[in-house]
Amino acid sequence: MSGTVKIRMYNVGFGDSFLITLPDDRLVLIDAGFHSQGKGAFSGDELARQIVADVTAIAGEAHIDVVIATHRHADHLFAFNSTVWDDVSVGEVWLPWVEDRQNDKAVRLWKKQQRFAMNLALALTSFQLSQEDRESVEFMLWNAGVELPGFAAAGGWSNARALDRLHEGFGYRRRPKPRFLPATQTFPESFASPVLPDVVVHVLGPSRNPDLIEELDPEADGETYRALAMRAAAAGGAGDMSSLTAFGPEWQVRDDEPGAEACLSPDERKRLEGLAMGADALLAATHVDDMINSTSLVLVIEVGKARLLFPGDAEWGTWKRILADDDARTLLHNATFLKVGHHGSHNATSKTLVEQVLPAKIPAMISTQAGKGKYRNNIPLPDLMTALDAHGIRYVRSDSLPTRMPKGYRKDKDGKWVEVSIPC
Amino acid sequence: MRKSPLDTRPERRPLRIFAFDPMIARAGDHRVTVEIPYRPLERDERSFRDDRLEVVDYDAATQRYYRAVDLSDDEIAMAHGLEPAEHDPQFHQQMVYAVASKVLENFDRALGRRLRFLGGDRLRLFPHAFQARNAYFDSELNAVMFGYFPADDDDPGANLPGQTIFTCLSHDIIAHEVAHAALSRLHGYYNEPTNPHVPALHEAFADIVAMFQRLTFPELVAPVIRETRGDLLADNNIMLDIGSQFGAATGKGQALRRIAGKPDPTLFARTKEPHALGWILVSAVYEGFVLTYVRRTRDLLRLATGGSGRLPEGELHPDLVNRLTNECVRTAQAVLSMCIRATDYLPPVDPTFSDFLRAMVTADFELNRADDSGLRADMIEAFRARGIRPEAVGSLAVQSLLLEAEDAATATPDPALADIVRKLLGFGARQLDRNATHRIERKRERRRSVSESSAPQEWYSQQVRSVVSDVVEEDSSPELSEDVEPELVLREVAKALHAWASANRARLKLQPDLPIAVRGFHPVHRIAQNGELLIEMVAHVVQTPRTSPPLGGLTYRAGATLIASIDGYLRYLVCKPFQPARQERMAQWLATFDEANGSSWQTERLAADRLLAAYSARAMDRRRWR
Repeated sequence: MSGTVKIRMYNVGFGDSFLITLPDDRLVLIDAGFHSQGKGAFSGDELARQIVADVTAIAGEAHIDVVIATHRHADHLFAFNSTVWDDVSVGEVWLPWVEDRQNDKAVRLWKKQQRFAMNLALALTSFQLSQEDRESVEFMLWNAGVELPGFAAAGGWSNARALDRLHEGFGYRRRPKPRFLPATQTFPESFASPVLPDVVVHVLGPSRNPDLIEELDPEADGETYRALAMRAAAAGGAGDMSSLTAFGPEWQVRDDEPGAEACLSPDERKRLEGLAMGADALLAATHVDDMINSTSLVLVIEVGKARLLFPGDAEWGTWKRILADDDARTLLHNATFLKVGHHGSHNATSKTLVEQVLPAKIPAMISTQAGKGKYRNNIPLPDLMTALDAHGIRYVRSDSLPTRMPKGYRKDKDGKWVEVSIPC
Repeated sequence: MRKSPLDTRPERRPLRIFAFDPMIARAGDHRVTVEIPYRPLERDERSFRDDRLEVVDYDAATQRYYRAVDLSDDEIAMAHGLEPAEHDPQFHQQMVYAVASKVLENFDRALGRRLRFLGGDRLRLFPHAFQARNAYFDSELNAVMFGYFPADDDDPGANLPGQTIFTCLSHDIIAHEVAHAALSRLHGYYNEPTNPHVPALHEAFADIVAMFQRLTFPELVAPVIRETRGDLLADNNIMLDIGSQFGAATGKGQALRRIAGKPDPTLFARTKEPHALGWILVSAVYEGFVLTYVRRTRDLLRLATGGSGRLPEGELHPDLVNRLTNECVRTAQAVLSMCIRATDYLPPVDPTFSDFLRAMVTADFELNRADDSGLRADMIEAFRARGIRPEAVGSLAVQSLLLEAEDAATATPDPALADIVRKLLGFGARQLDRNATHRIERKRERRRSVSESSAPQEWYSQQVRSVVSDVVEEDSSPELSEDVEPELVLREVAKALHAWASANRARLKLQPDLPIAVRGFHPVHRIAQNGELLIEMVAHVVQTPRTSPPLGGLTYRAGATLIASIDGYLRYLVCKPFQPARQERMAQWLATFDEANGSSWQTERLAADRLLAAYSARAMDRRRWR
């Protein structure tokens, strides 16, 4: 195959949506998300409409060969809520293996995760948080699909509904069931799909290793897990904790019985209660966020001599495993394009990856929206930008498109997207 | 007419406990009665206490006290305590008290002194402190806190879904945590993870105490010997599971850890994760134990088999089971004492496995030169098989593993030191005397000062801080206040020792211009195998630089452990002087830690205390009991 592969990044603000046009005009859509309160160029049905219009212009019909959702964060799949997709046909849908609804372990994990996030949401009022921190927590919970008052999107849009569409929606599907990746324990796993002739896909994440499940288990921090459950119960009207005691009133010392002062000092009780019920809301929310990011697909899409690296929002845990594997490193060594992970955050792109593994001078794209709040303060990370520059990696940022585009890039006149062409 | 009122005072207090986690216990009868030293108990509705332990059943999650059991009640005392039952919180109190007392007794026996918490404080036990799958020692409260939690709804193992599981009903967890508390008392600076061996050593030590204490209960060992036909490494040896109810309850469906395993000599060098490292140490000690047990029982097997040593098929003779059980218990007790005793010969800061091996060998050599049982040699062999090599010694011979004494040529008895030792030993002897009345030293009114509770992120490092800060640091006035240390003798010894150590900084390989802190001093009265009495003083002194580079919350310190005889000789001197190489190693360890956590960018805001927090008691044990 010769020619070019085109990668179009939609300016969705804090989120991801990429449309890849292969040399034979076959199409791959990776993610379609946006932040409901972000500053991107799209809201509501607009992103779906824009993509479908572009697809129709390129392929002559509303057909996408492969639709990929890297992970279940709103900023990566929210636009799949749109009914616009009902008239689109697709070849295949690819999802990370943890989305397989037949997998008991994954189902159990999501159940726990959902319970944890929900308890955090319910308990939120019991925490003293700064406005900035509260906004960060709320953003992370919204992103994870927890319905918060004031955050509910119009038209009943939700992560769950978007996932439903990915599992069984769209007008027509050549392969009725989604492909869950990786399909095996093999690492890295490589496969070809009948709907994408001449393309080899390498799956570098998420890991199928059972240890991953363990890492992702919110109960790993048992104290926080239980403390949130109890705080949520208290906020939910359980009121006093008597219903939650391990032993009934017949075992308990009544408050009016003498001797309490001699036993524990107020400071001691305060520490005990802190250790028992204390939790860090921001940390807990970050855990929810990290956990979902860690289920992110990491793909190297090989088209001719082009190797396109799409790591979703994969974080350090995933990268650590990738960088420790020779075969995986070799793949990255030959990458010809990088989608910078997780909007340019600190733990989605390691220093080693930029400085020692990726080749210099390849094009890269960062879909991001600089913002405020603890969560987004350092996104994109200035150090990372500097390192990319130092390494000659030619990147564009969706939130600050240059007026003169670098070689190989072009942009939409309204700034709704930017596109790069990669020889293959 | 009785000659003394002491004649009617009971020597032991029998109390019933679950020897295995109740989940396994249901399958067979694994309740045992442990006999702990009798101490008079004080009780009110909210707690009961003897001179060293206090059980406070305060559930901080629901802010309730559960009524304290009255172990002195005739009906309860005569039945050897309450019947073991999961649903009875008062039995839970009895169980934590019994197991913790047993652990302290094992420490007393091994150390040759009564283990005394700082200032004569009581170690507090909270059997139902919080609702989570964890149990840990909190140095800030000088308390061991046990959590409880519902079994996993979807995958409860052999437990019922949603059934409440109590960590305070596991002999292993209680023993493990009390051992942490005791080690934190003896070596506070081991709560600073200055190298990966330090947290590993803490964990391994606690596991060793839990496991070998259990191996000293003949009622438990006998069935195991019968079932495994005397093979202590057999797969069906349930003694090898530590805290097995917990693995099952978290959905892993298997015991937390299995002890046996083929040693891989390269594993040690490759392993950095402290739990995994600690694991290697535990398995080395267990193998040393098995080697000795096998040698000690070989003659029995020959006798029982008409000389062939090969056991016939089928059940073992009950007499043989009993004799093997006795050997097993005796060997386990010896191993337990050896490991606990080693702590006296460890440096006060920054220990490694190599230090532990040498301390163990030296401690044992002091009491038992001939090594008739071969235990010492077996330990060395088991460590060698796992690639744990002593640093800075020429060979694995006992002589080269022994810690260094001072240069014999220059060593002279030091009268000032002799004075200090004599004074301290007098105090220690009184404490040990079985007929002495142990008055309850600590006034309950005296409060520990607990730091004002701060943000949750700071609790972890606070756990470490509180245990390393209560020392005599000031150069000018090394006075312990009466509030910190009520015993006048000990205050005087502290002062004298501080003066002596300050004057002998060069001899202790410490900096001449830095103040010195006396971390601890202990009288030792040990009875050697041949009946001789070994008496000496163990003291720890530490120096902390005035300024220190940021090391993830670590502090680069130097220190020395000195073992002094009653005539003023320094028998052994275990030094960790300031060495650039050691500081370099700490920086390296922090860099490795950061790298393993993916923190590579400069502008990232890394928590200043990140290493401390990652290896705090609460965080370590959370991973442990999962």
